[in-house]
Amino acid sequence: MRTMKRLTWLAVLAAAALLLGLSVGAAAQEVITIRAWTVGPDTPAFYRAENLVTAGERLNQILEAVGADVRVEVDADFWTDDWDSFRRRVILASEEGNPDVVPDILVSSHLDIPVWASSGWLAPLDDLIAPYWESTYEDFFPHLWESVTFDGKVWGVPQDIEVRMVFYRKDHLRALGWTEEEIADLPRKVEEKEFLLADLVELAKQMRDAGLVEYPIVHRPTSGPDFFQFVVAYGGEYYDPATNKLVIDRAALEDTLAFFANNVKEGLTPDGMTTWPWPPVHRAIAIEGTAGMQITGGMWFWAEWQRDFGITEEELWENLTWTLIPAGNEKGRPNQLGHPLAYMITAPSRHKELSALLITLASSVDLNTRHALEAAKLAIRRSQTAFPRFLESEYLAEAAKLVPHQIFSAGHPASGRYATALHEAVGAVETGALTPAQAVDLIIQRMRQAAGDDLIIK
Amino acid sequence: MKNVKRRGYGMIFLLLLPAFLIILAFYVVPAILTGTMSLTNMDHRLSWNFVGLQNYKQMLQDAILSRVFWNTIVYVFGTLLCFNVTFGLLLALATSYVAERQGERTSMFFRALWLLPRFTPPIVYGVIWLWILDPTRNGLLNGILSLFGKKPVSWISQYPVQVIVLTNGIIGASFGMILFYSAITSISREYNWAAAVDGAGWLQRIRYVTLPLIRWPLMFVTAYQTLSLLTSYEYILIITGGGPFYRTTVWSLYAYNEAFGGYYASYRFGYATALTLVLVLISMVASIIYWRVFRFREMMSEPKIEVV
Repeated sequence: MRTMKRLTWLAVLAAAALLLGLSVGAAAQEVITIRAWTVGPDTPAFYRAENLVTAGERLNQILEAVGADVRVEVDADFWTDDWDSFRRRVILASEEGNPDVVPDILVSSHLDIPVWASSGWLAPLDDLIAPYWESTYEDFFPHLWESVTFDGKVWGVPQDIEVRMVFYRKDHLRALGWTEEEIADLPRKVEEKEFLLADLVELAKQMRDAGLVEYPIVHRPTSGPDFFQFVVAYGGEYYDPATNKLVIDRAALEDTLAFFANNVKEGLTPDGMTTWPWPPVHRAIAIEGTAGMQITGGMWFWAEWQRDFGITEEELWENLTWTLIPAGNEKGRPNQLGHPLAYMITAPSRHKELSALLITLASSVDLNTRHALEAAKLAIRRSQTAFPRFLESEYLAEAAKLVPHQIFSAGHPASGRYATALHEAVGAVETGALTPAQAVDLIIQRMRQAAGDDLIIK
Repeated sequence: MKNVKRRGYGMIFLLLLPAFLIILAFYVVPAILTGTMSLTNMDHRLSWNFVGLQNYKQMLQDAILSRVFWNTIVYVFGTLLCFNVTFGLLLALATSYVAERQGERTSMFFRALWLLPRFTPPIVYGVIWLWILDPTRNGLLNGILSLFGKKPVSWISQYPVQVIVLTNGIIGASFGMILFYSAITSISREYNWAAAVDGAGWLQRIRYVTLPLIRWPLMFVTAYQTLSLLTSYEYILIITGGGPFYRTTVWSLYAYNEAFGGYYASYRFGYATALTLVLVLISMVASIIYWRVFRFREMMSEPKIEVV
């Protein structure tokens, strides 16, 4: 009996010691919080934040397995309002420079890098990612690194990449007498310059005359880099990488603006296209078929249409096909603009090395692939294209065929301003407020203010 | 005696101090900062790089600015004349008439109804209008048109000015409505009875009794709402974004866009603050004109509405 009692006491003591020990251990465990601000704004891109959280969980598993007394907590938010407000938030926080306010990691457009890096808000990543180069980053498509390099340094880790395209309603093509073979052949004809922007306009007129559509040609209502695709289609340039100056190519800009102006004159594009909200544009091309073509499409629409508008992928395959932006003339070329997003590490961050490790883990093949599948984005790593789940997506494989014709926005701090000025000019010629030549003058005036001497006018 | 006087001044000073400090901190200091900022070419880096009067010179060369100026005039006075004063007055007259006939409760119901837009958060109000004005058949107006077999109308691009006047006016009218209503109901009933005995009809009573007696509230609302409209842009930003091509960009929105707008926000804080400073000047000139023309000094001197 006495032995029993003694044993019980011993057990209680042992349990207490254990509990005490554990609680002491828990108190000694350090938790480091890494904060990240990520942006959609398209809602299906939520893995930009979630992948960082998963990377944190994976890191904690490793730390636990090796008995380390440190854990990481990832606090990542995902912004679905517009780009403007996201940038405003980053800029105002960065100006303050308080590491308790500025997050450690940012996910934003590669276009932000020249502006944010030159303002001293970002940390150069060359040394931070060097330890993982062979294991992870060497596998990235090399051209993506160009989009995140500024002033000879790497400031971002590519997070995703997409292609832009012209979407066509197949049902209307069929109604005009196109065979399935002819429809399937359209992307090749565009690529080989057998189908030009003038043919696209002709097609739109046929749709209009046959009473198939109300809006034969629609385009994005808001500003964006998409309109540069037409400048290239008309044989122009918008950037000179050799001198890092922006280029105003008068002839190509005028041709581009004349294209948009004439589409309105012919009743192919609504005159108030730049005042439309986004949802009716999506509904017209993807659901209702009241539009014939969306000439500034993006591959991520495929995910948005399914997620936000409730259309099945089968319906999309049945009704839509796509091509590059066709060439506008002999000098021009068919093309599409890619807009890579990138992870960045902020200069005030107290945990730069740890942030770099998390970004590396979030860039693993499986995590980046689930982002690509959910948000309809392309692979950033070579091995992703052989990854079974990636291969299963017919859409991604088909869209990836446009990659060789990819152009990027200019890596210049005033690049976004140029995109805004061009969009403004499109609105001006579509409403008849300015002629294409006057609108080019306005672009020049705007860009002289924004870029100063960093401007080549041809 | 002297002591009492001094103590009196001390008391006045103490009583005025909180208001003075608030105005100093939240108006005077920001105004000085704004004025100083307008002499720099400050961008997203927020550095105070002084460039003299360059921003003001640039305004003279800005090809868009004259368009923006006229938009502002049309928007402010259009909204004022159509809605904030005239429609507000009509609502006040109608609801006071209803109050007389149907009782205060019914009248209050209608006034509350007109206050709803003002209670609605701007973004919700804007989104409702975006749906009403949707350029396709999914919009309310175009949906109604399609019932009659009509083609959809692109409201914002076809009627840009009307759209911003209407959407702002529907909110603005309630302000005038409330002030005018209380002024109308505080008019001594004997005046109306006397007029009725003299054979005046409803319209004549409005013209010869009501309107002259609510002259001061009318002028006050006109002046006050002019200043408030000059600086308002939030509904325009949400509904038209200032487009199509600056057709609906008013001065304050233009300044906002120069600071924060565009695909890649402009962050031209120097130029934007110069623009806002000019807007402050315009508002001051308008205030002085109203003060003189409406003879507000008289209004301030003694109560002009007879309270029963």
